[in-house]
Amino acid sequence: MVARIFISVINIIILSVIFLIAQPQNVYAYLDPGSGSLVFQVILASLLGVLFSIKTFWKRIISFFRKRINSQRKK
Amino acid sequence: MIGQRIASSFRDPDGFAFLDNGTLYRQINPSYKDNYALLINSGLYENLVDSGYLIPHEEVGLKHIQSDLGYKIIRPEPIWFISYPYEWCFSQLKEAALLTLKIQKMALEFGMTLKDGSAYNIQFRRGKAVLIDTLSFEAYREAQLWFPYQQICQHFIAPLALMSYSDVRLNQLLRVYIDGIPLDLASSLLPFKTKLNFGLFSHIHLHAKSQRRFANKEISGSGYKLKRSHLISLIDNLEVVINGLRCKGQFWDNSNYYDVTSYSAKAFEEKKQLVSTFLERINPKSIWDLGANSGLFSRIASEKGIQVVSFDCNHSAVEKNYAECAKRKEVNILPILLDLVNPSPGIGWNNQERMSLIERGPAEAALVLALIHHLAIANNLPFSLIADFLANICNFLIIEFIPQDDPQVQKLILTREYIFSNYNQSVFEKEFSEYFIIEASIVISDSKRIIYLMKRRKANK
Repeated sequence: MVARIFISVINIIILSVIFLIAQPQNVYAYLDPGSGSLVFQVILASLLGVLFSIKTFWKRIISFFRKRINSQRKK
Repeated sequence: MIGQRIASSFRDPDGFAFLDNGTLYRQINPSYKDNYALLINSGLYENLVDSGYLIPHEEVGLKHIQSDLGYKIIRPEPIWFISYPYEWCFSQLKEAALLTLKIQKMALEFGMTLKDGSAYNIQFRRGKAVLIDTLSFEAYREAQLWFPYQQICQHFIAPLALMSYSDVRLNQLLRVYIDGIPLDLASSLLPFKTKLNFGLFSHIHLHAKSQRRFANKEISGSGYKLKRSHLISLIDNLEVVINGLRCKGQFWDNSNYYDVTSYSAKAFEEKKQLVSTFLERINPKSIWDLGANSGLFSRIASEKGIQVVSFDCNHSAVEKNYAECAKRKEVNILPILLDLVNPSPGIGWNNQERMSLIERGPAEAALVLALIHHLAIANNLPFSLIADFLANICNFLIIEFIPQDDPQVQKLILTREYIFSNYNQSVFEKEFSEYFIIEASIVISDSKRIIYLMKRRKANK
């Protein structure tokens, strides 16, 4: 539970920082409040995508070592 | 033959729904030709229909065509009672939300995506949520932005979060805001602890900030790209967030309401038997059960193959009814949250986008059991007005009269200063006879309550 809250807080900090750095870009179309949703989804989805990659990568490392440990035990 | 255009579908340039001789059709405009072909030829349509996610349809000839713009006409399977998100309990809204995301994921597998994420595109059919807008799909272009995101947050995440963290009654904000609850409003109403929840912090609080920040700013729409893998991560996260939301406990739990009424076990059994007999006599295809509580009497009808809309104004009763329906895999009952003394009005553009309750009737028959005292005493409604309303919404009526000396009535009168001299059986019968023919009335033995079977006097709509 504590770990989950900790991860949550870290995520929130990362997201807030990315969000503050991202600036409205060049001038083309006049968009309604929906534009905020479009910009935001790109930032959020990128973060979630990266987190997903890290999670997958981490799982691979764990399973790699697990396999090695297991095979050594069998020997 | 020109039919009547359905007011709810005017926004979509790709087509619209219309009624012709009581049958619902959907016209597809040429602008949607390629997308429709992709929907059918990619196998997406078949998969969606097989999974029960999308309403099936048949293509019909062009004789129904509405204008020169028509490319095809389809006839979707009819939904017998249209309901709206502000009439759903928490679990119904949650199911509709999860269905929208499942559909989006399936669409991506077939090279398509949803065009919007409106909760009004979802209806309940045979006890399950289903997408009714066949024209909701478009070809997916790699890295395109995902337009349904805003609606999914406003129509689903915001009300579900408010119902979960603040108060279940806040779903009624959907009745005020037709395009979903504005995120800045949801953000200000939600308690601080939702900011510590990553999902809600981002999809509501930060999302609302982003909307404010970019409102009235000129930005390049084409400058932003959303990778497919990132889009899938976003959808997965929305699913996790929605799955994690639980309905907030109620301040009043009426779950034992049936048990504490003034019936003996024998009287209660007799009441069930009477309702069953009257239903068999009318033999309707569908009924409305008003003040249904958690649907005990709706179930008597549904077991006879009758379709029932089971209305109650108490959220926990509707939630309980829906849970029971899910447990029994009930296909005939649709639990609906509705306050009879303030039923859903016609809302949206021209007051026509979403129908009022009365527009969705009349029902073949209505069950009005253990309700009249609530209307007449607790809400000061004269019998004549109650009868007038009921004659507006049903052709047959099975109604229970509860006499003044009944403990339930006594309880209601105790807290009121008025003397309800007009609350008696003879006035009840006299006033109702203006609108209905009393076909039968039977006193439930072991109690003084009376069950009536009535037939409406004026001609049907």
